[in-house]
Amino acid sequence: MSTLGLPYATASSELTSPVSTAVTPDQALASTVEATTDWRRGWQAVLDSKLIEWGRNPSLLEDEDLVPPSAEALGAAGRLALTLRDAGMLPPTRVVPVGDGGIAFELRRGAHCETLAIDTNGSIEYIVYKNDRLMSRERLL
Amino acid sequence: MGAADGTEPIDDEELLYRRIPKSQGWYDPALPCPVSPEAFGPQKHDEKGISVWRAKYRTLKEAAQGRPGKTYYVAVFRAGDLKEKGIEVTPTPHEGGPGHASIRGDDLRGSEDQQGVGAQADPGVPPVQAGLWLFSDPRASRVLMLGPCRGTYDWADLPADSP
Repeated sequence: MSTLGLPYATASSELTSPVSTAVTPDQALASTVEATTDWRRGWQAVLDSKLIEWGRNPSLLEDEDLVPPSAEALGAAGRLALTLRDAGMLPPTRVVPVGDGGIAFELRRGAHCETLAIDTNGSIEYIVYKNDRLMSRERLL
Repeated sequence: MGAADGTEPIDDEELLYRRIPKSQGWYDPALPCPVSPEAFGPQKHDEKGISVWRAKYRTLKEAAQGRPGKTYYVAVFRAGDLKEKGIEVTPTPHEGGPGHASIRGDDLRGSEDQQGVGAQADPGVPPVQAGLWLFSDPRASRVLMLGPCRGTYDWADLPADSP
């Protein structure tokens, strides 16, 4: 469970593959460790190839009248990624700039999409879409 | 105002174009669900809704034109498909010239007062119905066509220019 108590944690636990009763405890442990390592690697990729890179080179995202992520948003996104990584959460399927200075972490499960939206001032919202329709949004921080 | 100034109602059979900048990563064909909801979020220039262009006034190539040297996708919708999903599209030539239209909503990604799980659904994010085209720099001789019809196409293979 995330230290933030995020609903995102529910999504990640639901996405965890059930452990087969046919495997030995050692194998189960090994696959759990492997999944955890993969997830941690996924979060590290978010930090290294997205957030740090965007901070170093915001011109990568300059396009028409779109605004690259602000320093506050990058800082908040980095802290959030570290927190969720260390809590063993599933990494997002996509991390994108919002175009107004904010950043979105998206977690897709078929028709279900959960988004952690980091605003340009560093505040965070939890948004749920189903079949590409907005179902709910809630301010977390 | 006459029919040629872009104020006439949008017919169900009309195609609508929405430009999506490649630089933002809002479309990734490698992902199971390639399009991010952010691709249909209102941006600075979307004053009263999400900007789209009517195919009867602007060609696909024209709709794809953004900042020089940048690459864009164009999402293509059929107006009737949006209407069936309760999504209203209104001609707004006064905002961008003839052919400009807007998918209406205060904020199609949800308003600030929609707090808490279980808040009522709003008109939502329009699904990509008819296809998504990738445009490289307009000087490029080839483009990728993605979506229902995958493959590489020359400019000549794109839907007929109009008007």
